[in-house]
Amino acid sequence: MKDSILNNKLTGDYLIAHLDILSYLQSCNIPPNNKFSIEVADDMRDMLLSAQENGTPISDIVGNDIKSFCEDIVQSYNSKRVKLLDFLKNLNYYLCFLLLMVLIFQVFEASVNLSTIVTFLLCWFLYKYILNFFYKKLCLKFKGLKNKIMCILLIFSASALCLFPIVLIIITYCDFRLNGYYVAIVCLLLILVVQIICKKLYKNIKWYDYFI
Amino acid sequence: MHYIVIIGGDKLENNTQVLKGILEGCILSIISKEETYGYELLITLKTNGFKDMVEGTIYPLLLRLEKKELITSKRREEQNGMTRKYFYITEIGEKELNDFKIYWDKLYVNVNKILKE
Repeated sequence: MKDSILNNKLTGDYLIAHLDILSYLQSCNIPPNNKFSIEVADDMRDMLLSAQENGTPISDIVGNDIKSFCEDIVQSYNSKRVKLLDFLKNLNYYLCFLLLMVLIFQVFEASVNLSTIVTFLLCWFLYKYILNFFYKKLCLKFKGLKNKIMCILLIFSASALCLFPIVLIIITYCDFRLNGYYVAIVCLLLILVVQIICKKLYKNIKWYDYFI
Repeated sequence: MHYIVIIGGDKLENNTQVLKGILEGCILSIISKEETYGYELLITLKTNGFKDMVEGTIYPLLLRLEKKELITSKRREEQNGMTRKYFYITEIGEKELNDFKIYWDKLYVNVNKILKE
C-alpha cells in the first residue's frame, strides 16, 4: 500500500481521493500490508490515474458519496467471520508479545504486576481499535496528507489524554504482584485457545500468520 | 449464491441488494463472453441501459465476485503505459451464471404475472 501511495503520478483532487480511500480502509482495521489492501490501493491508483489522464471527474469513478463507495469496498472484504479472524489474529500477536515480556521479566527477577499486563493490553492492543474508531469518523473530513497527519495527531493526543487517568486508576487499583511463570502459562493457554478458534474459522491458518 | 431481495426504502435505489445481485449476474454474463476490464465493462453496462452507472458502482461488485472465486483477474500493461486489470470467468462462475439465468427467468415471469394481473 505504501508503494502505491509513494510511487503514483496522481495529482490534485485525484491524489486526495486516493488517500481518502486508503485512509478509510485502514480506519476499518484492514491491515495495510494485507493482500486485499494492496490490491485495492493499486486498483484505485490505476482507475484514478486513467481518469486523471482522460479528464474524467472523480464523481464518475467513486460516485457522489466517497464514504458509501469506501463502505462498499470494505463490505466486500469484511464478512463478520473475517472481522473476527483479524481481531483474533491481532489478539494472539499481542499475547505472544506479552508472553515474551513476562518471561523476560521473570528471568531477570523483575516483578510482574497485574497493572503492567492490563496497561499493556489496553495501550497496545485495544488502543489501536479506539484510535481507528475515531479516525473512521474523521478521516474523510481532513483532506490531503498534511491534514490527515494532523487528524491522526489530534485523535492520538485526545485519546492519550483520556487514557491517562484510566491507566492511573489501573496502576493504583491493580497493584498485585504475579508469578511470571503462571502468567506465561495462562498466556500460552489463551494463545492455544485463540489458535483453535482461528483454525475453525480458517483452516489454512499457520502459526506465523499472526506476525505478517 | 443467494439473491436476497431487500428493498429498503420507498424507491428502488441503485445501492439496494436486489440491484447488486442482478448486476453481479450481468457482470458475470459480460465477462463470460470475453475477457474485459473495468471501464469496458462499464461502457457495456451503460450501452445496455444502466446509464447512471459509474466505475465506483461496479468495482466493489468485481471485488466480491473475485473473492467468491467466480472471476479471476490479471494485470496487464497497455501500449500507452497504463496498467489494466482484465477479468476472466472461472468454472464456479460459469455455474453461478447458469443458476442466475434460471433465477432471473423465474423472477421475470413471476413479477410480470403479478404486474399484469
